Amino acid sequence: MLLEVKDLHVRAGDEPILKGVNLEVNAGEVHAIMGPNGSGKSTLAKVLAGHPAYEVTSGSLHFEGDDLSELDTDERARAGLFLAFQYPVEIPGVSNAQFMRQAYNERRKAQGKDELDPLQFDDHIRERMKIVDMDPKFLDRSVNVDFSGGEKKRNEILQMAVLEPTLAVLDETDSGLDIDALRTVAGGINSLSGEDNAVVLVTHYQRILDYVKPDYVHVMTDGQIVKSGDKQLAIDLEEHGYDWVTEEQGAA
Amino acid sequence: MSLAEKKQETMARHPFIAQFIDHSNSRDADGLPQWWSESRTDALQRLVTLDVPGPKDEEWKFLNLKSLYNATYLSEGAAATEADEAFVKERSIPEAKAATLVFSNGRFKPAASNVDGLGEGVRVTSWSELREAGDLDAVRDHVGIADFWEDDLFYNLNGANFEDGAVILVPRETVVEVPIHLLYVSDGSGERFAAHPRNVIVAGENAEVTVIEEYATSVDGEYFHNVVDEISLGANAEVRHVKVQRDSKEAQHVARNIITLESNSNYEATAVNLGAAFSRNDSYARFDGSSIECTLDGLVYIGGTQVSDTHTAIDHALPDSTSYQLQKVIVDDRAHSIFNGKIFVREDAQRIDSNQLNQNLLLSRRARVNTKPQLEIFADDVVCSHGATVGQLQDDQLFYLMTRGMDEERARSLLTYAFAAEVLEDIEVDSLRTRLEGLLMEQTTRN
Amino acid sequence: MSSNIENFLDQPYEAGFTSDVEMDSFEPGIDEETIRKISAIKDEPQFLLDFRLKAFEHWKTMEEPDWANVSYDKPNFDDIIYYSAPKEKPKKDSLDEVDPAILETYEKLGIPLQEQKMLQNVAVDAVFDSVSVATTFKKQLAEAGVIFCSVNEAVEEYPEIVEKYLGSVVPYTDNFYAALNSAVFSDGSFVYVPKGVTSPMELSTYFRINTQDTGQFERTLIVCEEGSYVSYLEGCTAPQFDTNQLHAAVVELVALEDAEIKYSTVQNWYAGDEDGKGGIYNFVTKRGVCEGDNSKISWTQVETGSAVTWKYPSCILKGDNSVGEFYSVALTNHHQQADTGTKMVHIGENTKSTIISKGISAGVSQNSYRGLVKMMPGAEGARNYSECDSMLIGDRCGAHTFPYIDVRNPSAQVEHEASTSRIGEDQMFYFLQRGIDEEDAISMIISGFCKDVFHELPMEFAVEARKLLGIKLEGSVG
Repeated sequence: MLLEVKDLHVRAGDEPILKGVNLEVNAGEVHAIMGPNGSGKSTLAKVLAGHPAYEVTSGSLHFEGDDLSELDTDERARAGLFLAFQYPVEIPGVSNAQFMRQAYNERRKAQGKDELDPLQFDDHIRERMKIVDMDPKFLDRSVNVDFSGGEKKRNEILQMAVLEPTLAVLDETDSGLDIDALRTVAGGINSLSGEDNAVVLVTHYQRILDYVKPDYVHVMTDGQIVKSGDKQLAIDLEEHGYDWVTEEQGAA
Repeated sequence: MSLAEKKQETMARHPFIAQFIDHSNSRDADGLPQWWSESRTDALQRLVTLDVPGPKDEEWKFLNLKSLYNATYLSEGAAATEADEAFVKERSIPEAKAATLVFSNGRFKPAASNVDGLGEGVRVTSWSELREAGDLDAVRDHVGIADFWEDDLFYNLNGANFEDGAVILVPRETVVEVPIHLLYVSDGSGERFAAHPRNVIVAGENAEVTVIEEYATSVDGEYFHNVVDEISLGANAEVRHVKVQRDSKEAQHVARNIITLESNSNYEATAVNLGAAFSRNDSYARFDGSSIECTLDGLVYIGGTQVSDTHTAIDHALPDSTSYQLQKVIVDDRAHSIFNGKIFVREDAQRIDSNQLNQNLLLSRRARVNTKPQLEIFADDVVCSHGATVGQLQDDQLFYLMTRGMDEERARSLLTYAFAAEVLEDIEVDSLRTRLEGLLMEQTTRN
Repeated sequence: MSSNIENFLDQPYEAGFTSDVEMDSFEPGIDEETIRKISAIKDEPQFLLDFRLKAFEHWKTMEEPDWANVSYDKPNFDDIIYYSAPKEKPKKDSLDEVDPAILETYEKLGIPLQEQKMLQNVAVDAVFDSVSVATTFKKQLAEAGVIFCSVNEAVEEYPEIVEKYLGSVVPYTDNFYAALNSAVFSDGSFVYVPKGVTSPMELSTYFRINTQDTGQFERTLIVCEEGSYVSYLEGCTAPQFDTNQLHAAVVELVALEDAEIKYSTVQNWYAGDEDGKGGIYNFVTKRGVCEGDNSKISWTQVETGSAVTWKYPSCILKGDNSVGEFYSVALTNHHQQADTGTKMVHIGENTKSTIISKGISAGVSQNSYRGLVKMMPGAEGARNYSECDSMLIGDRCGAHTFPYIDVRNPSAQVEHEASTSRIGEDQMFYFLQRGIDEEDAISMIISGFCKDVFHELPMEFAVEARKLLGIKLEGSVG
């Protein structure tokens, strides 16, 4: 099993946000986590990456059998856990190429592989950029600085393509994208998912699931996964809205 | 050394200061409440220890104040005149018809003023009126609200001498719907005089008020205005303050504006300086709470041999507030503009957002601009920026207008107008804005 | 998180050792006799002694300036040793007779003076306490016509050039420290590039203060004749003493028509300990004059050391179309205080200047940018662009910006921008999530912040500067 989340309780400051989340993800699977705003789905994504603003109060998180609470954010990343940010930050002065090469080489080192020098890496990254249809001119620009919303999201998927994570958690990567950008980004995700890795899509809308076919769909409300199913669940949600699940929960 | 001896010494060194000590001593102290006479004595005691500031003082760099310092002045009491009725009428602001205080040569003129129906508890009056009514305690807690200028000569000259000025007290939860117009009319035809208005503006919790403070001259002459404004905003209060300084181009105008702000308050100031041979306009805004918004905008448009100096200090003493500043300056002929904008972010005043921009336009070969935007930051989680530009009109903009059929002169005046008008855009009193825009248009076309 | 960043900054000072070299030193204190003695030791011509004495007379009438945004105990000028030199008189032609302890000192600092070990294409003048102890690659330079030697040697060999230019850019009346330097300067570097010559290699001076209580007062003079070019590098270190030492240097640059001087500094004087004890007072006057049309002077500085820095490398842009540049990184930590910036005085037509200043403050340090851009009435069409960015690391330090702009020509254009930032927690999380640890993340962010300045440094120095910031940022992750 790649990821095992058991009865996870998390709070931010004094406020409880996740209230007993359970989730299992195996290699080769694509999971979608859906839910209304404030349901805790983005928090789950950040907690998986070890964001310092959140405190795990009980429950457990395991990644490839390792207890994630033992690993710092950067160690998790080097172990193959990738988070595509909902709002990627800007880093003035640090070029995209420099940033990705450093990240890539850290991952290579962790895997016991040789680091790539700037020339070798340049070849590698140009190859990868085709997957997300990005112009190589972005390599020399500062990370995310003056990128449009869509360019930032593409840049996240590019990093995923470069780092080849075992588990990719995509936090609302689809939000704010026009239909062409959405297709490109979804195409990128599809071409990167395979037998040995898994993808967790955190999303508000069903839209992206027309392009990335999930094996499982989970609905989160108020800090818990309240319903799980297959692709059909997403379609039902689109039709009836999140209230439908909440009401159903209430009725049950 | 006794006070008298000190005074003797000051007299010898600085006749300029000494004459104002004399003025102060000759003022009528009859029935003055103790707190007022004490504050007058404090100011006098500081005056005898002070020097006149000069170009060697960082805050007074570039200035030659000889013509200010070498002159003798009548105290405003001796220069009393009635306000020119026609002039007052011409300057009246229709929106403020029922809320106008007129001062003539620094003295309140009840007959020319009109305050009516501003709402329960709202007081729009003057020091002289309060004194007559024996009601000075109403203003007591709102003077001497910050010690920022404790060692400043002009602040203390005012402290030792002020007798009149506007008092605007807006109680909590009260919105004054109409703007309040303070009109200081000066008649410079007589002997040279000095007036020291002290204006107090207080907006209680959740109160809202707009004040237009205007200095105008009915007859040109060499008088000296030495103003202190004390402005206090309670929690969630909103004050819009427009100052229009159109004193005689032979006059001297010095002003100190103190603003203290409590949580969630919003102070928005636009200072338009057009007049005076020498004008010095300083503002100090102290943030005593959080989530405060403070805007200090300014427009200086001078020509001839005018000198105008603006110093502002925005003091973020506590976290979570915002300040904005846009200072535009146009300098023509042999005029000289100076700007120093300080932004302080004190230790632990985190999450401050502060933005300052100073733009200067030189229209003549002999014009001069000095500017010093200044950041002093002691907290790390802040977004502070400032920018300053000095230059002339953009050639490409001129060219663009000329391709649209305008001659160069017309294009220049239009661009100059547009440069300055940005500062006036936020003035919400329509008739005032329109009037200032007209004035600006007139001045830009004249050039 | 920010406490972790602060830990990175808490690193040992690697150049803090003392060398055991036999020195000839004066007794502490200054009077006319001190100055006559310095001049006599050097067997100076009369014009120089006169210059010193006039400067001393003037200095006595001056007061130490206090307008800078720094506070420190003013040095007691009677406690300072004004002359200190290694006993072994260095022979300028050979390194063989230089005290081996001195050679070893420079080796340890990574500045080997034996030419076979040296960086290709960098000639070095090594100044140890008050005097130049060695200058390398002199022969190769002489073949190209470039004179590179100590000021003492220049006074002997080329007195007419020295007399013509010494004090021509920074007169002894200029300021308190410049006056003091003019009175007591002991040595320094001299560069003369003749007409049309491009120096075949980078020239470099390496300054080292060794003796406690010694003031270092060196004087550098660089003259570039018409159409010539030189790139000059300067580095400085000092041992760790718990008293403050004064370094009051004067640097004068003269660029004639079409000439270009590129002056780079990596300043790593001892900064004092974590509690602010000890460290160098770095009170330096650096100024260049673009005398001829189309000339150019470019200052690049990386300031990481000194307890107190007071330094404004400036350009007087006299020649039409002349260009002045100032690129600066100033890093302060612990109790360090830096008040640094530049002056760009535009006199000629179409003169241009660029100012890029990056200040990084950490600990309880205070870091100020102070600059003046002055457009004189004749500076038709002149341009200036200034950018001053500050980065604050931790919430107990200060970053200050004091830009003075003075414009007297309507066709001149000045543009100034300043901003402050910090290393955001969200930025840090982004790096970590990509598997880049905190130490690397900070160093990447800081290098990125300083990129525009590092870009201006000659290759060898850029590497050294990055390394130096790296060392400053090194440490245990908390």
